[in-house]
Amino acid sequence: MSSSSTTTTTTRLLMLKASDGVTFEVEEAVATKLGAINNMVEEEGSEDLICLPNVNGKFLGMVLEWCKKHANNNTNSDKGNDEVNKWWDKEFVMDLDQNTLYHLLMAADYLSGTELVDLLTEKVASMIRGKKVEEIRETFKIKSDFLPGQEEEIRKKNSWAFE
Amino acid sequence: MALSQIDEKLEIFPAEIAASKFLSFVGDDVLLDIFYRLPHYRAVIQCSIVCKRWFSVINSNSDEFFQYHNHKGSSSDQYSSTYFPSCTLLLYLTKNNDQPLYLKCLDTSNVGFSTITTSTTTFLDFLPWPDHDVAIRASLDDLFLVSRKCNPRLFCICNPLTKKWIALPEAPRDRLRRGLLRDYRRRYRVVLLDVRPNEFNVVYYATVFRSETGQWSELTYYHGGREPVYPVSHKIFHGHVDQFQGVCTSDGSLHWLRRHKVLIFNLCKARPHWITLPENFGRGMMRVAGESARLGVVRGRLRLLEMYKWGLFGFALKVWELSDDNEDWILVHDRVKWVATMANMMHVLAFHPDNGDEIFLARKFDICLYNIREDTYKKLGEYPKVSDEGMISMFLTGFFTLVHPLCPTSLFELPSIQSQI
Repeated sequence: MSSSSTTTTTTRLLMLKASDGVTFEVEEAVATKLGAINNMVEEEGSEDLICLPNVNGKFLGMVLEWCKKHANNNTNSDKGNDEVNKWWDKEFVMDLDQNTLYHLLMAADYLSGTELVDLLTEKVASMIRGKKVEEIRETFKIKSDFLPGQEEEIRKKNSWAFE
Repeated sequence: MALSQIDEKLEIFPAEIAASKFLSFVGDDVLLDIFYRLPHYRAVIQCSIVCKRWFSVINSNSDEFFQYHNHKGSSSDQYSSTYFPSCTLLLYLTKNNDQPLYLKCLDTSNVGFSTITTSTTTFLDFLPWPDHDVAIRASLDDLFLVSRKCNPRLFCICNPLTKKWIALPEAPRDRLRRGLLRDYRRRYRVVLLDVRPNEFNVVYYATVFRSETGQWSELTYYHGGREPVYPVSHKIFHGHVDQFQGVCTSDGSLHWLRRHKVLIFNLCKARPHWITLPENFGRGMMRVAGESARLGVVRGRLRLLEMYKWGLFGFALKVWELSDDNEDWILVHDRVKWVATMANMMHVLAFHPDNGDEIFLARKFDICLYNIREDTYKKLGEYPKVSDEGMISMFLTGFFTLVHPLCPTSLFELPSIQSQI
């Protein structure tokens, strides 16, 4: 009898430790969806515990949840996968409150999770799109800090954009 | 900045101002990434007055944004519906030598056409010439080619939105057909064209301005073979189909409608050429007042329309589009329509530059947007009410559609000559 297939490699587990001490045990294939961790794994080799002093456990958990979903789905060869991922991403960002959204974005940016950054910046952009300046300020709780007359000056200079 | 530090700072503030804190801590690259995702340059510029931080991020990268959105605009999805945030229909009436009258309505996508605004103060008042002396000769996207009435050899290309203009050196002469052309390398041409058939051949006289050289040149082309000679009665039965305002398609060709053919001027081809009109064009019976033929551009592609009176109370409307290989006309719309009255009071003004189902019609004094497929009218406005006496001296001198790309078209600079832009 021929030898059985050896294509299934044993998945290596990584320990990720967040700033508040919470640790996550994840498969390497999942964690390396994040560019920063991928670099650490490649450079440092055997180290299994990775400390992430800049990311809070709550948000690291969410980032990893996203990674897991996308790493898993990537292994399937199903054609409808893209659709499933899109739908899942949509659900993922749909009900995020602003605070969580921003923390996630910062965490994803720090961990170089490019695809996740794309997803989240797109979400922020969608909150800007189609809004008037006043509405944007309202949405993001931004106070205009221009000196009197400065705003008018910029408006005047680019009047075509404000007609 | 480390996230944990931000966390600490964020926690000090109540949730509602956490957002603004975030937006001040987040790196420029993330903020830029967000702005790049906005649909067009205009939206980015609008964001620049939200606060100082946004202004400085946008302002210091404005060239990149402009390039990016320009590039986006010139890619293959140029003519997708999101490409045009808006388009404008401009009717231009002159009353003797008085101030011209402009009827203008703007279509901002999703909202539909606004009602017409009439004004004598033209939105071309930024030009260096007096209002009554300005004649619009052609349009290209959001640009106008204008010339002076007192000296039609003085041309100017302008963008009414940005109020930028560039005066061209005086042309050696003016000609009947005029057009503004731009190719994919953003080279501009102003083309003035006359056609004079003689006994032996057809002669094309072209006076062409090139943006690269900043100069005019005169060209003469001969085409062997005589043109069919049309008797005067031809005009009576087939109508006056010549159209002197050149229309520019997305491949950078200018087109003029002339009798039974379309004249084409293309940068790549050495000489002007033509294509014949669809076989069944001009076959309408009872072609009397009220009929019209129109050449135009919809989503960058050439379209031809004819409308003529049908029976006593109706009209027929046909629209063709030129195929990709520039050889066949494809019939897009073919409609016979019965209207209660005034069929002969209707005439076509222009194509909707973005929606192939819609055309601008004048119905007696009403200016309408007509949807051919759904057979619905939307009244946009009316011609100005003038006395019968005034009507005689009131001429509809031109109608133009402007298409506003995502970021306004910037003008070229004349080589070596300092322009005022």
